[in-house]
Amino acid sequence: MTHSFSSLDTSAKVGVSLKHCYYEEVLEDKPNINFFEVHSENYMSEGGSSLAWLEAIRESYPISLHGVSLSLGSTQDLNKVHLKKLKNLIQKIDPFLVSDHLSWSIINGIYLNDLLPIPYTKESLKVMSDHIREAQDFLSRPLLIENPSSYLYFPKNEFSEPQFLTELVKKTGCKLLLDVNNIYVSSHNNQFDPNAYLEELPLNCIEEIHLAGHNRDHKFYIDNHGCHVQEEVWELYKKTLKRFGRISTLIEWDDHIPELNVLLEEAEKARKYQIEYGNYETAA
Amino acid sequence: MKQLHKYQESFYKAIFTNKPPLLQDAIGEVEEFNERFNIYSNNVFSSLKNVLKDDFPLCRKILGEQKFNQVTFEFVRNFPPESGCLLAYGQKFSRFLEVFFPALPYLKDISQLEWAKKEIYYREDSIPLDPQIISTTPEDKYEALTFKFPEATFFSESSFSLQEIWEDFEKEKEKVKAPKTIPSYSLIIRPRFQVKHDWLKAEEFCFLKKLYEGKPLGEAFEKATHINPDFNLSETLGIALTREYFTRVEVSHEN
Repeated sequence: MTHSFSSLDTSAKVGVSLKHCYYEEVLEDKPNINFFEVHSENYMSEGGSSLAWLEAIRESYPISLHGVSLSLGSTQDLNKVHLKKLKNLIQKIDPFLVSDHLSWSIINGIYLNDLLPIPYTKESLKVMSDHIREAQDFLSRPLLIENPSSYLYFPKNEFSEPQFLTELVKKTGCKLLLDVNNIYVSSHNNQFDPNAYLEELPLNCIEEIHLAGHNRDHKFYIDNHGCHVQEEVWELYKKTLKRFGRISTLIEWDDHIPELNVLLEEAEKARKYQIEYGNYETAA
Repeated sequence: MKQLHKYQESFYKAIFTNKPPLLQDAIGEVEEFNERFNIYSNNVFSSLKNVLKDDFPLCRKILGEQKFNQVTFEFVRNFPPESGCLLAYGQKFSRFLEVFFPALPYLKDISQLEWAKKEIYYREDSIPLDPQIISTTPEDKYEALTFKFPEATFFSESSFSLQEIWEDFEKEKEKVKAPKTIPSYSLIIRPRFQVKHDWLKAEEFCFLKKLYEGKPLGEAFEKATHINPDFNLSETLGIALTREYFTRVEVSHEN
């Protein structure tokens, strides 16, 4: 496993979601991409071909492990069995990033398969911080925390979402995974200014960006990872790059999965914008 | 922690009882609250129903879209996952189908087969036995041979003839016929990375199952001949080695 990023390497870096249907093509064609990302939970197995493919692809590419079920915002204790499985996977794959979400999904031992919203209060901050610290200690590495798409807001919030994320960074030393599509979707659904959101986040804490498509068929936009990145999200991405500099960027695609080339083209677009807008020297 | 826990309890109950107003009280007045809440509720149900849809395609075909949709909704409501690792979700579905559709008793067996195909895909990998090893064993030790199977092994025994319906489905036939009440036997096994599903005769099933249980070859052979005195040992053993059923062979020192 020789492929990894140096912290001094500021070149544009883009990745795409790795799906079963891409395995063979990736190993045969070795596409020009800097990394792949997988959902950790799909590889928490004792064996099987998916894990073998991932290990084979890891020989040629850095891998980012993206989780959806640590449930860091739950009031109940972290699931130790799940953490152990994640740690085993980390030891097998040696990922360059490990991430999960600003959300909750487990209560009373029941797992609700969605990224459920937490109110941004002091109480939630303590719960989230304690869990992030515990997970980071157990895994012996920092986690990246991703802002989720949101469909409801809490009138009694004591922090805005970027304020809450900033506090988590301060309290735990975690890093952020900024999903630009999620900012856009949430800003539409909850009526806030996405540019102001970016301005509220501190510099030097974002280690990955996600880009994806969303569904606009209803009154509320739905983050579905099932289509091209919309133009408004690309515009917000440019602003993100201007503010934060070049950051590894992933094209996420989880539904209606197209040919790998479609994702690679989107990734090339992101690479082009990183070069054009993401100059560290000119970052604010 | 009380407020946050109360909110999460309310959210959970609201999702499973479809009573969002309880939650609304917990977090205050929110415009268009129900519509917003339903996005989360729908996500939870549809994502879990999709897991079952992917893992039980033949059950879905037999039941039709509407009934499958209904039973998966009820299953999710009654048996939500207990882990974020959904590779294990659906284990209880067979039992649920048995209770939900008593008039279709074969559905339980079919769903168990479908579950086994999923489950063994993720079990520990194994390296098949080199058949040459058997040929180096002295003939007088054959009866005492015992065999290890891969971790990913599942024996299925049903009172219904499942082979035809299974093969029709795999051939993507538009309609599948209900199986007859004739027993059927099969073995789902994953040597290396490929899941194999082999239909067996009763005596072959008995022989292999005994070997799987750790019985020596001589005893397994004897049991198989009770079912069919013409049981062909060398043919069955040959198939088992070709299909890579075994990972290890040893000489039993019992007796």
